[in-house]
Amino acid sequence: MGIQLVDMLHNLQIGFTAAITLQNLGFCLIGTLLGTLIGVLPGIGPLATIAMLLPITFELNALSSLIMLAGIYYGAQYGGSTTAILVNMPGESSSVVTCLDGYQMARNGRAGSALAIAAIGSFFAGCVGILFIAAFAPTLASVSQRFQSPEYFALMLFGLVAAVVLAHGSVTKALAMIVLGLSFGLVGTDVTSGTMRFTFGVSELFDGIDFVTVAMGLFGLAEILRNLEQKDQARQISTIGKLWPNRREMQQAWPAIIRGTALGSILGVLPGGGAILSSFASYTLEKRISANPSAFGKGAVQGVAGPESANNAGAQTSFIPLLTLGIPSNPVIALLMGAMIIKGIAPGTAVMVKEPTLFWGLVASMWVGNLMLIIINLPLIGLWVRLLRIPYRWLFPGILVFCCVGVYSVGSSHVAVLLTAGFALLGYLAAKLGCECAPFLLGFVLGPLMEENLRRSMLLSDGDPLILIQRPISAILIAAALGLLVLTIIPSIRKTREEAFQE
Amino acid sequence: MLRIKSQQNFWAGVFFLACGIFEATLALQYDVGSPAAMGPGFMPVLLGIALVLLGLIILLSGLSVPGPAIEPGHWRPVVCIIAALVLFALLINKAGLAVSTFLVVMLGGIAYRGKVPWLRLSAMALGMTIFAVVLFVYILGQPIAVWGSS
Repeated sequence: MGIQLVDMLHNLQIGFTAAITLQNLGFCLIGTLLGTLIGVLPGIGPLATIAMLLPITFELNALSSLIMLAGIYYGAQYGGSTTAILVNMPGESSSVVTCLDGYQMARNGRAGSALAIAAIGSFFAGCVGILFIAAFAPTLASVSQRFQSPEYFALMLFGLVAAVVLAHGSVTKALAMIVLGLSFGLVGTDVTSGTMRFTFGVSELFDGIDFVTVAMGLFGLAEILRNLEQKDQARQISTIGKLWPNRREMQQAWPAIIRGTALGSILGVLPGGGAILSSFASYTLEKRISANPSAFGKGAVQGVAGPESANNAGAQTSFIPLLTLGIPSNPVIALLMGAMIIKGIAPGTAVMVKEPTLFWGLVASMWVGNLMLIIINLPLIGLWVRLLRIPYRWLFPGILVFCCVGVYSVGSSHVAVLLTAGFALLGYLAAKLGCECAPFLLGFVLGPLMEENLRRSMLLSDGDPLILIQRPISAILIAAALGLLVLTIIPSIRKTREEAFQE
Repeated sequence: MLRIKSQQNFWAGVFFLACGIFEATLALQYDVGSPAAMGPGFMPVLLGIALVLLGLIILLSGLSVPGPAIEPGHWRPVVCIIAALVLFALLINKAGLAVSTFLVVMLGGIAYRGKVPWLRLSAMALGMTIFAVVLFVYILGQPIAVWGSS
């Protein structure tokens, strides 16, 4: 234990030395500012933004670009809550639950303290989440060194199933979207045999469909299409009032912040988890253990403090599976994984061993970024409020241009832009049919990895699929995946799950 | 006669079913191989069959369990945005970034329902064009021609 602590401190020291250079601090600031900006603005999320900025990071070194992209991700969690509290619109998907009590607090004239509680909770959760990574990642990495193809396959299977169970909406449709995503992931040259699959002779498809193309079409552009179908309501922005919570509010908030942080840290590690799930789970927990559940939905302090802490803790710890196992836990992390691969770094255990400065530098930068965010958000709140007054009609053409140029510049290919149009239509169609796109994206990223590991496992066992349950770690993972699936099919649990998402 | 009880589920089922059949038949042309030595066709055939099964389940649930209808769409945003993307794709190599950006913003502006504020929209398109050229070509140094090559 003592040695571990010394190790951890030493590692963090390496990290801070790497993160606190003028250049990296600058990129951290750019990332968190951009993250707050897009978090505040409804209708554009971290996925689309990171996808747009990927081409720009080609010029940067690996650490700087990851620091910036990560900053966008957790910065968006902060910004999203501002919009939720002041306008009753989720600026970002993980702040949906903050709308419930945050907006009510604002209507009771407590907008300032709701914002402050959200920011303090997020900061606290961010710090704990980072310590959690520093303490936990090396252990997980050493376990994963014993992983071979069957374990990797089982782990990815578990991740996909977890993503389905935890997503809202129909389980079968989410499964179908995953399978569709896995299939699109196979487009291109088969690594083992050199066969062209589903390329239809289009040379741009020989290397597979680019990740940016899919993400931008399904999330950036399909979202514009959906937003344009809704009427652009005039936004009622609450006045902020006094920025500091009073003593009673702080007393109510602290236990919720601590519970939310713990819950978020754990759920963030799960594949398929991350910020969105954490905030939902925390809200349900707070409501359930509260002595006065009827206060929820009418401006309960715990209903803001818990979920806001949980989503930020989850956003931090969702980096753990990527950095230790090389598996993305949610679509945003999948994009960051794409960025790492572009930089020539194979995500996984090797990152910590071979590139300690990169790993610990990124972790340390998250702490710096969280500190920046609390400064960006609280004193500068007036600036973000002014941004909220821009009508969508003058906002989305800019997003459109960024998407076009972003996709084009990845491979200087006009075919990529055409493909993006196709994925935009697919995303639009999926929304009309009540299907979620996030499982599709996870499937798309994991498709080639799963095929390769299944192939190798089968080669090991000479074609016997039982190898997946004969090895202890993979047997546990497969059992867990099946268990989760069975649980969601049992009607009573399905009902509570639906209730949890409706709240 | 069968009645569709959930438009959303029924058509989602049809969609996945069609995708699955398409994928599996196409994949059968590749070498499927054996479990011990999976060929390039193995995984796609498996996934195609999974899609067919899932599609059938969703389709049948659409026939038996009542569910939400499909919200009617509006053709104008969809047509304009997709047209803007296709136009950008076709023009970017020939006409360059400036012309393409201008047209994308104009088409995007038309996508917004209601009366088109032509003057303000044109002004914005011009502004966006200058901004995009300065940002992408001059500041970020992306290798994109401003006015097209040929």
